[in-house]
Amino acid sequence: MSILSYEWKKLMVLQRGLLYILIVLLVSTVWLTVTDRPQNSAMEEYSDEYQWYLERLDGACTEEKAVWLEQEAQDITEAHRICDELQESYYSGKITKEHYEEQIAEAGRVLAHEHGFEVAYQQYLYICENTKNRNFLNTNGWQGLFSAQTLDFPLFLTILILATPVFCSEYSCQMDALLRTATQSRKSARCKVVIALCAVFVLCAGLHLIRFVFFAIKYGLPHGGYPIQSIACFGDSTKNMSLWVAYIIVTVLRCFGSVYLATLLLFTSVLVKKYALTVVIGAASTLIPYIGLARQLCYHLPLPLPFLLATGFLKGSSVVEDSLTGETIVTFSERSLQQLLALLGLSAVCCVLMTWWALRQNTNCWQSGRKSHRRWEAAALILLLLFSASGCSSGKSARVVFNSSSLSVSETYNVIFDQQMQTYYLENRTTGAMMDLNRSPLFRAFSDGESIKAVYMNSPYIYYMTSYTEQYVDRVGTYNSTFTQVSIVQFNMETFEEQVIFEKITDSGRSLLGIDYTVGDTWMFLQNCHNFFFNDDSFFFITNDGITEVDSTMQHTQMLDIPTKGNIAFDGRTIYFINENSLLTAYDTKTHREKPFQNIVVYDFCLTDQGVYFINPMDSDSVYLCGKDGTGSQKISNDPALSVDYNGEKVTVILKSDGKEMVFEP
Amino acid sequence: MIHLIRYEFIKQFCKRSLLALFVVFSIANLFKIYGEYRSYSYLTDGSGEGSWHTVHWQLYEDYKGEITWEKMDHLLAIYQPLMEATSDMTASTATDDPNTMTGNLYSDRNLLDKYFVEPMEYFHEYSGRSEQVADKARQNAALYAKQGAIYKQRESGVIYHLYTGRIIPAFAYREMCNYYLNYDFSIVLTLMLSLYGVIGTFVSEKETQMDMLLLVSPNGGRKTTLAKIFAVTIFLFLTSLWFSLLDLIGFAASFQTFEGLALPVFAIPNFAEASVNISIFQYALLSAALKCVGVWVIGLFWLLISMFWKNALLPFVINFALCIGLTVSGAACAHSNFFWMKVVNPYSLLTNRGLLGKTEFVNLGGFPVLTWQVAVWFAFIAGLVAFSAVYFLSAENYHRCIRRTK
Repeated sequence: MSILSYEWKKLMVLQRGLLYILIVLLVSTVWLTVTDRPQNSAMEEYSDEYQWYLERLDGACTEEKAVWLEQEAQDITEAHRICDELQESYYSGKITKEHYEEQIAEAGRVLAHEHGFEVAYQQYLYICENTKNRNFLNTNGWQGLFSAQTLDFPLFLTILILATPVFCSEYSCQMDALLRTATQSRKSARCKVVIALCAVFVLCAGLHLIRFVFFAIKYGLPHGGYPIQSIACFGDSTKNMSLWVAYIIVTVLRCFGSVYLATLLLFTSVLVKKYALTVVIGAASTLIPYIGLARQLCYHLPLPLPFLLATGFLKGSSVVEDSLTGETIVTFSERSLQQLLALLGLSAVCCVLMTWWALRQNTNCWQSGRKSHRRWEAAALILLLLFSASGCSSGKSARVVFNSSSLSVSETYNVIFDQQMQTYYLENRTTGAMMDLNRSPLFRAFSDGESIKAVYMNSPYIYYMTSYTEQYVDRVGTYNSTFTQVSIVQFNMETFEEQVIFEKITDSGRSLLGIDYTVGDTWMFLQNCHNFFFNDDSFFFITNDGITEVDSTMQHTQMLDIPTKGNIAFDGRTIYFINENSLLTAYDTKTHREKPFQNIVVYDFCLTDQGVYFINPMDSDSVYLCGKDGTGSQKISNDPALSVDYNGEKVTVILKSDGKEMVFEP
Repeated sequence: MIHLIRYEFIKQFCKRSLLALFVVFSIANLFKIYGEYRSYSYLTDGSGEGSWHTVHWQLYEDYKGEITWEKMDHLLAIYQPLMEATSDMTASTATDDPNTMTGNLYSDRNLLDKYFVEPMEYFHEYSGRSEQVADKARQNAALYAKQGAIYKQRESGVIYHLYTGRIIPAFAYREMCNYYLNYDFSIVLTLMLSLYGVIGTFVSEKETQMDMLLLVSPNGGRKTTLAKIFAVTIFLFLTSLWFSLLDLIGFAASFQTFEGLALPVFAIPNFAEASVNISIFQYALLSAALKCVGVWVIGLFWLLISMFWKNALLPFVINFALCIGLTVSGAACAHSNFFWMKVVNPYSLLTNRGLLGKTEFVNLGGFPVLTWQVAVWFAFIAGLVAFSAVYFLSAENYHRCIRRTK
């Protein structure tokens, strides 16, 4: 017992093993807290609404649930139609206010959980692919828990730090020879091995426990008894097991992988007796197959790597279609439980043999005359390990007027969108000369995957959003071989200087050095963005589903519940929009409060420096002007109007009667 | 001094363990390259009569060399009927059709499409596209000159000169070159081997406390440090050059051809916007040189970090973590428009296609400088800073102090 405590003090206290473990646990917790993004952001954003559906759908997808969901989809579509009809009838005076409010409240009950329905319906479509083993459940917690499919580098490096000096520290000061003269030499070595392996096990288990607690608190881990196929990353798996069992298996395998790596390092350190060579062999035996081999081959190797990447053992096969020949290419073949057990058994035997050999080398009844063989053994070990690994095979925005429905003009330029060419042009207002908004000669020269998606003007700058899709490498069968990047470019109309102020890769599937991995779908919405605006604090991206606010500094995203069917206006602080009841509404981006202007019912509107021009459906679609706070409403024109636009200089009204334009200068 | 460098080089890098790792890593690299060929090339179906490999190289004899209208017409004369026959997907799917080259109509079409029609079309159209770029750059330069936007005018001027006269005059097999130029695995091996070699430079003497002994030697102290730095530089250059050479030989051996090396680098679609007008072979040489510079900078920083430790473990892990950090950040910003992030990361010099494959500029005092050139200059400055730090932070021996006081 005393030797154990001596060794404990030496390895964990004097060699700072305990400190390293605590630092890694702490840093991992902070890193997880700061960087975690939900795998399904809509599920998290509308968690209350989704929960309402989940209470009714939870569990297996039965025929009744499917019928109910389809009925709910019809009801929501019908409720939207009724709302539109009711508003039109009410504002044209066909129905009374009481009747309108009563009917709209009824439709509102159906639409109360609309966003949640969209999330639930997407899940329903996934479950329909195989209703036998896919259940409805809140997946963000489980998805997050199983999302760590890449090598955990902090864990890997800490194992190197913990296991390497166990024997190497003695070899470096030649204390090993002295230790061998002690009577309890073998016991001392045994204690060292036990402490090192236990420390690695505790570290790995601790990291898993932290992840488990984090996801349980942040998203919840409900229904652990549901089949693993209920979450997308195991969707194609043929294994019949619950989420709990899968989690336990993954944890056990990762802990085993960590212990296996530590054993390999102990064995190597006894063999080569050098710090640097021990670490490089440990690193190479893991990293070379990780980067050099196709993922499915990694799971055939009796090395620590497959166990450190444990989730792959539970995954199903995946295939892609060859882009040229149309042939099916297997990118990952599922490992059966028998194959897993066989590999585990073989690895366990290797583990035991390596431990036994390391201990045997530390006994004082030591064999002599074998020193000359050691170099060959070391070389053989390196070759064995590496052969198996080598593989065969922002500007100021004090005063801004932005209307999403119209393109602005500046003192010098008009922005014109060419529908046919799907591109934006700048028109010089004095000379009438046209030029491309993106003046780069290389834009679209060699690639068709480049486009300008939206423009925002804030003199003297024009900001435009570009999107381009590129292939990582021209390869067949690599499913993450393309990526889409969205950037916002600031173009100075006076100096013609350009600067990128925002940039994101939108795909959740990424590739790094040939290692495919997935991240949350946080930036996926950018692919569907058709307009944007921003101020010093945030960017606002308009999609058909709403407006997503992105914090400029921390890059946190938040979906604002603002309907984007009509015009969206922005004055640098307040967003103006038409709410579900056709009321002009102001949303303060600082206080995050929404304020509908109770008496201002609008069909269309535009924001100007003076106030808001709007078409009043309650007064035969006449054009009115009111202040930015909704007060001082006054009639501007008696002619019924179809639309009202403001381009920064003039308000243009298109008349209902003959489609002619009427221009006001505010 | 040369003797001292030689002794240091032999002492530090002519070790059996390092040589064994050199051999093992080289073999692993060759296996990986062969794996790339087997995984991604369509010409791996043997040398049978109707195999793609055989048919491709037979057809290649007809089309290789200068691109002429006759060759293009001849190619289209074979391809168009195949396209028409297979466009509605109702053609025979038989695999033993004697009237076809590979036994199947669809297979014939795919082979011609992949290896002849698509590349020939790209080669033929490239000069027109680059001419459009040059023309637009010229127009931009005139507009920017009128607007007084001097930097943008200069930038357009550089683009104009880069893209004027770009042409791909000859047709050649480019598949080998495509995968060769996009190959990264050897970088990982180079870094790992370099790290193992560099880490022991100071640490091995500290582990045995020989550093104290060295200080009493007339050639000890900073003279030995200087010799060590030069020995490390030679080792890093040799390692990097070896793997660059091995990559080229490995790809040529796996694909069984050196064809395509004389093509201009922009003949590879990923390099259509390349910032250099050189052939693929010249690109390989330039890439090897840039890799040397990148490894040298990283290596000197490893050396600097390892100076402060008494054993190899922690500096290895710290340097390894630094390496992972540089690799992940470098790969993550490889396609970014924030060019400075690429320029300051020496890993960009190792993968270098992110720098050389795009025409991107950094504004240096109003002058547009290509990102790869800025990256090289930045690497040299960073390397010299690390070099000086290692030199001046190392212990000065007693002998020198005496001489100085005299």
